Amino acid sequence: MKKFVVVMLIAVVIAGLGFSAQKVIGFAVSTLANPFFVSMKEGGEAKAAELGLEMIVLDAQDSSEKQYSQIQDLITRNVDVLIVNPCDSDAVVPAVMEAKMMGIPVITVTRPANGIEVNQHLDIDNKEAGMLAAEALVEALDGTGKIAVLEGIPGAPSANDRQAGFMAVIDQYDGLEVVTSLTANYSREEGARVMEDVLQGNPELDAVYAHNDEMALGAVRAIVAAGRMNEIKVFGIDAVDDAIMAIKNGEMVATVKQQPALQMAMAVEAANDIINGKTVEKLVIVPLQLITIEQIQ
Amino acid sequence: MEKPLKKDSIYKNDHITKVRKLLKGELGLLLILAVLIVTFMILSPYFFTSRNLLNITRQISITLIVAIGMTFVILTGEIDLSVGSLAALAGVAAAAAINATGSILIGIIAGLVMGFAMGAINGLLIVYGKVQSFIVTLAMLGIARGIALVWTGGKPISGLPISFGTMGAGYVGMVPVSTIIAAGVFLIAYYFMNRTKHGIYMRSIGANTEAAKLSAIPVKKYRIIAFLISGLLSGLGGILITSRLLSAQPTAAEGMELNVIAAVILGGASLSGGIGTILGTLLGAMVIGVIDNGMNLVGVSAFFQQIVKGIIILIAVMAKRGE
Repeated sequence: MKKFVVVMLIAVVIAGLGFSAQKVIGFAVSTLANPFFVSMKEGGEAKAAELGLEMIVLDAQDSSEKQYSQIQDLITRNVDVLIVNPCDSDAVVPAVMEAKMMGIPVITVTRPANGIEVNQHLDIDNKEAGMLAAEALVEALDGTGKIAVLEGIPGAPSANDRQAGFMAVIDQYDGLEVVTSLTANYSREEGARVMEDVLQGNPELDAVYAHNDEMALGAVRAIVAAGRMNEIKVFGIDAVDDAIMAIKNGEMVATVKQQPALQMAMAVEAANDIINGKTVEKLVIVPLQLITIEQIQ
Repeated sequence: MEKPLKKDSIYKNDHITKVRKLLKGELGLLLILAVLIVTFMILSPYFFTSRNLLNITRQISITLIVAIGMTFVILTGEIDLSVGSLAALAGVAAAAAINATGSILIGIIAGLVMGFAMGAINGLLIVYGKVQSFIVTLAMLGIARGIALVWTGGKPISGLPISFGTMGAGYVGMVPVSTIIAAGVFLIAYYFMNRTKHGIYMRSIGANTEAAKLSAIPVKKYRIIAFLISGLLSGLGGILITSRLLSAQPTAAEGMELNVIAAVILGGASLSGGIGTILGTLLGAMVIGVIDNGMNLVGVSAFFQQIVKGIIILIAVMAKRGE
């Protein structure tokens, strides 16, 4: 029995290994349940392979405590650069502080670490993303209509900015009214659930704006189930594959391309620069692109 | 008539026998832990360093503290599914209290009181309301989480004083403070369970409630005490999480109950009650902690980790039963 246990254990653990002798990047990602971050991981892995770097990816499953432990383990592992996609911009700070204390360069992607200086922060301009979505909505609705908003994780800077950018445009049009604004925590499942309730409470609705595609896709499922797809136009942000498909199928009108793979590839390049002793820019804003049916065809 | 030889007597109590008795139930688990440690030592040069080993103790400290509370509950034949939510709520209460009064001590007390109070509600509903613990604590899981969310509006409470972070993230020399706290809880629980009548009573209640009643053991009182302990320790766990992150998240410790129950069961406890030890829970928590940390160091891909962990836990439980 003992031998069996030993052999099984070693076999199972080795099965998950990736061997490499080179410099190591540690990537602490918030959650791989969101395809946006999966694209990010893939973009990073491709660039890392190209540059001959090893990349360890640890998934915190949206838990800040888990992320804290994982960053600690990456520090113990002595990674050459730490790239972090925080679950929560405040809660990640103690862990980032430890990394800096141990002399490990830190790069943050998509969400910042509040109040602490890192080697580089890559982000999109979330306000601009909100604005682009709003402009597409204004055009689609011809300036009049009732809108429901599905918000991202409460307090997340991305959600705050995507809302601010959106409202800055919407407020200019008297004919547009936001009838309800609820959080679905950036999740498809919650987006569907919340949307069901919104549909119940709003017999008249013209558009849904979700802070990310996952929630938008969830909303689409609820709207289709309620048979109101022809009344309601859906807008999201992120341009994940499913959203592109939804636009092709006429279920969504527009999304905003964030280029997560590019973002991460740029982060890995910056990491490589740091490893080779070059200095990098403190802030990098990755360009956005509005995606509608026109761009896809 | 010959006197029985002293050395064959069942009354011998020398050190070797003591240690053997202590480990008897836990020997299998100790072996599994040893195998895991050796495996990771081979696979990663970073594993067997004092820094990393101490890190592991810090990483499991919160799960261990809550698991110790869970051990008492499971021992009496019940279950507490609300521990994660209680931890989050206690963390929120502590943070709110600190921000309101500027005193860390008041914050800690607030968190502990919150955990204790919710544990009391659990216990009273189960014992006097006569509702199954699974149902009550399942409901409490939702209620406590909901209270935390409503209280905070869904947003984490931040801006806590850095000195508060010492509990969860600080060190005394090389030893993490939370490890020291967990060790303290372990020793107190061990003493309570094994050296006082209370522990024996609680074990009897789980093993055979009817017999316990007939033996004039105050069954109701001890069943409630189990949930008080679980609530209190969940509260302590929540305070430590908040301290570590310097941020009270209403969504903290989601799913913690599963990790905690896994540690207790891995440690040899039986879900039907009556069987289980504090030492076993410690070893169970260590096994899980070593697996998590080892896989991170080795760089097992994120997707694979879940599968590997589940398989290892299954193998460990099977191997233990087979001993």
